[in-house]
Amino acid sequence: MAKILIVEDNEMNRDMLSRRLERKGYQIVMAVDGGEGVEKATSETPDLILMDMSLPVLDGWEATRRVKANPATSGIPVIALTAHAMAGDRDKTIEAGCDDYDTKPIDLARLLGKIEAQLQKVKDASGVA
Amino acid sequence: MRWKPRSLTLKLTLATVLTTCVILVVTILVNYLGARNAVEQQTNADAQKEAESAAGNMDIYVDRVAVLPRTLAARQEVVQGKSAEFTLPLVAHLLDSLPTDAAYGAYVVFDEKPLSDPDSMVWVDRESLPGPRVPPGGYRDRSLEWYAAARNSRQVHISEPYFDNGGSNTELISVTRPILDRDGKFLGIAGADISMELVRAIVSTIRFHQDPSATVEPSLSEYAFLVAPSGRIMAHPNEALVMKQGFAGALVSGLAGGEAIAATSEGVVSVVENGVPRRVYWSTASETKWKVGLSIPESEITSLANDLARRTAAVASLAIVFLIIIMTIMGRHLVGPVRRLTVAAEGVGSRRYESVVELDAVARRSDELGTLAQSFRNMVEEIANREKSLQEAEERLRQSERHFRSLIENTADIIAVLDRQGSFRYASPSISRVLGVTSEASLNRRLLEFIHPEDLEKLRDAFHEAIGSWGGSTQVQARVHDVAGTGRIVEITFNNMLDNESVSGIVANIRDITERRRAEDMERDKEAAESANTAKSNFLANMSHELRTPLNAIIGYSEMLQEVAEDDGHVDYLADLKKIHSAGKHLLELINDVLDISKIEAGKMDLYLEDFSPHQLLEDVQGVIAPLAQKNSNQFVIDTDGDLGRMHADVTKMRQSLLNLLSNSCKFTHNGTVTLRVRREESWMSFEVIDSGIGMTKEQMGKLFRAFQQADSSTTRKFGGTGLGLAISRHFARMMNGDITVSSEPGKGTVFTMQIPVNVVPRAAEMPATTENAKGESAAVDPLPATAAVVLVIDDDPVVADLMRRSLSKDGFRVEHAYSGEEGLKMARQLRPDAITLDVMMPQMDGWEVMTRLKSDPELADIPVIMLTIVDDRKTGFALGATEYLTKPFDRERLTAVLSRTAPERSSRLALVVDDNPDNRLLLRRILEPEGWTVVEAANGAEALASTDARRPDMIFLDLMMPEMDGFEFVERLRANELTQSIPVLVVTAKQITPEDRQRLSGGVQNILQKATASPADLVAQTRELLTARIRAALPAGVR
Repeated sequence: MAKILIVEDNEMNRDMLSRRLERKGYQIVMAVDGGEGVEKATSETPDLILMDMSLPVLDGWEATRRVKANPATSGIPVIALTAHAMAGDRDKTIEAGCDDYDTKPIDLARLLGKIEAQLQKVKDASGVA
Repeated sequence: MRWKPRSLTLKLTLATVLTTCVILVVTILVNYLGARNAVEQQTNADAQKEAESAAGNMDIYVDRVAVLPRTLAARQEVVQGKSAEFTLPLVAHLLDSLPTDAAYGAYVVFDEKPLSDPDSMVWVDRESLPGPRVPPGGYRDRSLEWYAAARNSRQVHISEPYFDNGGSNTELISVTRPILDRDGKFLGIAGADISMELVRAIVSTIRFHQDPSATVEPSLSEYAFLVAPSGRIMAHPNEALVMKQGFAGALVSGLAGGEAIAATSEGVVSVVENGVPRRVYWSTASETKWKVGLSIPESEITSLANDLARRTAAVASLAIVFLIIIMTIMGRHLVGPVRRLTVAAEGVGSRRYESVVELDAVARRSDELGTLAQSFRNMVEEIANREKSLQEAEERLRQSERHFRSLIENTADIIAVLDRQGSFRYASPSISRVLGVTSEASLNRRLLEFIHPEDLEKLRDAFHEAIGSWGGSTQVQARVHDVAGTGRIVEITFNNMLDNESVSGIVANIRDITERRRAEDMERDKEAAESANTAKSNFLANMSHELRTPLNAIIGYSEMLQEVAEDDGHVDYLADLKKIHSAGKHLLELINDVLDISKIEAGKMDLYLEDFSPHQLLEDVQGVIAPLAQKNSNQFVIDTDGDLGRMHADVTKMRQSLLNLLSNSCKFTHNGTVTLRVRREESWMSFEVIDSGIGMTKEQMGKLFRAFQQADSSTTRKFGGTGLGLAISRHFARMMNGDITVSSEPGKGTVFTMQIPVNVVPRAAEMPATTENAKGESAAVDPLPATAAVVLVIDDDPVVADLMRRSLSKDGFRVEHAYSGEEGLKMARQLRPDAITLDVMMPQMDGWEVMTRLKSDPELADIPVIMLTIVDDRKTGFALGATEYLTKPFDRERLTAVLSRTAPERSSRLALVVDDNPDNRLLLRRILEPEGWTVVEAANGAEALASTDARRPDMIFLDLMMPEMDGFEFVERLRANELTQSIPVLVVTAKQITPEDRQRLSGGVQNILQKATASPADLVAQTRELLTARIRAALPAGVR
């Protein structure tokens, strides 16, 4: 089963998202800030990272840049989660190295689609490789 | 006046003539006197000669007669003393051979024979010829002189005249010669008689000068006389003096001057005879010793000299007349040009410089006058040129004076001159606007009369302070009451110009700052409101984020719980959980809308353009809307027509807008149909949301797109929603250069049309403008009309630019901004603004340089430039051509006043939109109205013509394919009418334009715009361009 790293400072959101994804059968690892997110990405080598953008210590953009800058973790797809309904920061997230983005509040069905799409992409890429 | 120029001729002529006459007369006189003397001498000599010649003639005459006795005395038969028989024929023959006037008779006397012997004398005379004369009383006495003298002298003898009473009984002169034989013995004499009568006749014909036959007054006539050697007068006109029978004749010595005559053989003597002075010339014949006298009146002698004098006088007169003529001609010749010069000079005196043309003929002369005329003409030309430049300079001065006068008189401020007592000596006309009295009425009234009592003290202080120092300047604000009683506030600046001779008073600049105060207050209020609004927007943006976080939890957990409940079989919880979930979602929608509006108002809304498939978009939309439609038992239909292709736009905003429109329709429709009709029209994608719902009134439609104003507040309660959705959606559509329009009727349903370009072009530069529009809608401030005057602000400071835009747009100016000199020049050429404000201190190209370039470009030189700078160098500014010079920080009211004067508002424009499709008309209306156009619509060519007749539009937007009368026919009709042929026509059509179509329209329309390619922005730009070109072509520069 795929392992997903959730980087989210809000406890309720973290709890809710982790439980809902676990119910869908994913293995969940969690980090509460950007710094921990980068650490966990290296130590846990997840299959995918769900990255909140407004994080304490190290924000989501910087964390993503670091993950993507590290060759060990650069292959992990990152889906940015922004609280901005207007998706105003979409370009910025892509620029920072995110592979996709979604807006909060989470529409679970839509998010699942995006997660599966990214995982499939990695699978296709490694298959080809 | 007229005599003067002539007098020169006259003077010249007179002087010359007089001089010449004097010389002539003197010369003539001298010559005359000399000539007269010569003539007199000559006459004397001539007369003397005449006398001599007459005397000589006497000798000759006598000598001719003497031939007779000589011949006879020499004849043989005479000498031999033959008888009368033999001698008679000879004597007769000889007498007859002489002329009859020569000798009267001829004879031979024989001394030996006695007187009684008839043969003693053979005598023939003119009467006896050819026979002898034999006197009955015997022959004449031989003792007398005629015989005795001849016998004694033995040569020819001429006797004294004597009266012969021995036969002829006449006065005679005898010429005798003795007859001698060979031995010298005296035989007798031969002789001839001369009749005295004949001699006298000869003498009487002798004249010096007079014609003998002419009848002359006796006392004045010339006459000759003859004197015998004895001194006895032989012939004389006076018979009494002449010898006759018994009278030996008077002695010449008895005559006047006769003694001289008697004494000398020849000479001349002056005498007076009968009171007439005469001269008597005489001469003595050498043979006969007769004296011939010639008596001539003095007048006869002087008459010759007098003739000479007359001739001389005639010649002299002729010469003088000739001289006068010559002098007059010469005078004319010389004075004529002088007169012309005089006339020309008089012309110059009265500024008729063209009169020098008359000098042309004179100037061609090669003499001194020609040179003078030439110089004069050059001088006059020079004068005329100077005069002209003087007049031009005066005209410039007058213009400048007018210019400054009009500046003073048209300025909003009152410019007044006060005396020391504070009374008006002059006030510019604006005083009537501020204080309600005319300039004239204000004279001698005191400024204090107009001041509010409470401000009098303040004003007096300021006035006295200004008076107190030379060149002093004070400023004071005071309330005034004008005649109408309206309280106004003025700012008065006193400038002490008492020592300035041209003013010598206190110059007061009285500015009405009532409006400024009011505007400042309003500005403060507005700024406060604006900052409150910004604070609100920021607050909302922050708050919505804070709201969203707990909401996320509510929605997420309720959704999760639903899943758990379903999975775990707690079905009875499901309904409640769903309510929590949907309430959370609704709240989220509300928050999202508020956030969107806040973002729009804060100007932070951006476009994210990407390629996508409209079909995909429609699928997304259907997924969301289909359940909504079902709620009110509505049927949801998506109507597409073939392949829609791909779009490049902000799909998120399009989705949000479509969802908003559709959810609205679903909300307000029950048991009906909601249709989404999608068509690709060339370069446009059109989405129509058609419902069969409750519809709307016009009033409701008007409020529809305004934020926070739902059609009816009760509907909010009934149907929910914020009422922001439509405002947001329309804003999104406009951000993409599209629009959303609505048409509806109560009870019959509603049609929302969203049109978005297939290929949206980002309009970064226009973002603030659209934000402004959004603001404008919420704040209900009218956008600036297209007729607004355009002011180009050239300033590198963005703060100034922003300040200018905000303050000037309130006063109805459209402000464009350039951040550098070069950009300013470029924009000036593109925009052709009505005025330019120019900063001096700018990097790279400073304001002076910009000014110089603007003024050296003929196309830009007319644009008024207002210097707006902290550099206070008015001189340079005005020298370079600035219209006005204001220093920063600028006085808004002053700037507005200056701009209003230099860049008046462009007049309003009427557009006629001709299209059979009401939606297309509406689209154009929506584009044109915000630009300040008044729009009139027509559904076909016929309607359009009627409309054109009613009111002439400034521009026509024309569709080609229309019922009744199409666009082609309309254009033909339009162009056939003189009144409408110049109206520019912009064809806006979906029709593919063929070369034939172009042919039909050729010259008839200004431009053709394909709807497929034309975005609303293109339309606006094209319209502006056409209209600007037309306005500039129609109006003279400067009026713009």
